[in-house]
Amino acid sequence: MGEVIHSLNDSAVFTTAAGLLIKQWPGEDTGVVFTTAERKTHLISPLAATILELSRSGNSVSGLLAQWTEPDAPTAQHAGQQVLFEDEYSSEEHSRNTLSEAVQGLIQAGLLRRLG
Amino acid sequence: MTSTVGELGYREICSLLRSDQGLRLKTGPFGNRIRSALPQVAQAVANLYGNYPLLQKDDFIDFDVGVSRPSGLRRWWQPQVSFQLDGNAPFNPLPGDQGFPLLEWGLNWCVYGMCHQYLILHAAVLERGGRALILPAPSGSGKSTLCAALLFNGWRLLSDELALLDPVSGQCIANPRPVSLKNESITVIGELVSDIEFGSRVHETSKGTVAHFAAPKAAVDSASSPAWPAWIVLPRWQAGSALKLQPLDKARTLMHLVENAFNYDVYGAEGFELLSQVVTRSACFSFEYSDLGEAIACFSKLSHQAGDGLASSSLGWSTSG
Repeated sequence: MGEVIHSLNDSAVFTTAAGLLIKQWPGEDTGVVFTTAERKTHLISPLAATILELSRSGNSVSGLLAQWTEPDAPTAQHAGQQVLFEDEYSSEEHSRNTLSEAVQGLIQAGLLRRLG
Repeated sequence: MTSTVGELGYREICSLLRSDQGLRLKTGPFGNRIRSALPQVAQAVANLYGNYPLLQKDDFIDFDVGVSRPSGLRRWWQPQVSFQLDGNAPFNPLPGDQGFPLLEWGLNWCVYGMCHQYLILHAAVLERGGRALILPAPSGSGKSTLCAALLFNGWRLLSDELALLDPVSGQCIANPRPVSLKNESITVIGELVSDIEFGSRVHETSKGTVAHFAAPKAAVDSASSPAWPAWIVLPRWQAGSALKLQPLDKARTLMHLVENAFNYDVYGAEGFELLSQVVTRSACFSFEYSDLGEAIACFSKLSHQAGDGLASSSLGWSTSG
């Protein structure tokens, strides 16, 4: 998977991933993504935008996913799984890959509206 | 030495239009050679292009166009008119009284079909204080009516139909041409601007009744001055509607620009970046109106407010030139 770069360019947040150019403006619940392979532009749904926002604000993707999968009262068995989960996603590269895959998955799942 | 079309006089305009040399004039950044033996076209060109600079014989011609009667029996029975570009006729002929509208539609087609040095939007563009107001909208949204009202109330016309975005500078390039109004809009603007002079009304076109009026001389004289995008407003005329100017988020604004772009596909990622930068530097709104007086006052107020645009240098664009 390709590189994910987060950079602030004045009011717009420019994020690039493998084959994707993603832009989101602070305070907005949506963003836009350009898929370089298809040369199409899509409106990003609020769900995808939330993932991007959390990622941008410093939450690692692994941490985010761990939050979502963490049970109220972890069992010993789950605690072991959690360790494995964290090991698997411990590297920053894996985190980047996961975000990129998540965004592409959202496109394929129809959560991004195709217009361009 | 004559410098504008109007200085030629009607007889010479007719003569040039009929000749192989054609009438050579500059509209915005484009050089045009126009040929037509039709009196309706000559009359309209004389009335509506009088302020435009003439080109010399060696100046570059972007569009070599003409409007003529097709040969054959149709010349005499239900005559038609045909548009030519470089001697070829890209469209089906239209009814015989639609010569000038056909010329205008043909010139628009030339711009959005071939001038890919610009990213081109279906939008009216006006300028005030060096800042551009972009009104992207499809036909029937009230865009041209609003544009016509504003250009008589403190705004400079860059175009009533095609926004030309320069991908190098990020600016809107001016290409003021005769403004086209349709149907009820002709009466509305005629009542709003008492001394406005329309060309002939042409009925039963594909758009209904169409009439053009000349771009103001100041707009033609300032055609070499671009403007920085500052406001993007999506207009919608709705009978009986109270005026509504509502902020629009930038992501959705960008999608509207994509929908209204003619050659976005040509640009690929560069176009995405360009439109992103345009919306980033612009204040974005949706706008619904029914009363033109209220709309004019609203845009006057808007023009006095600082946009939320960013300094051009921070976007990587040069402020010079």
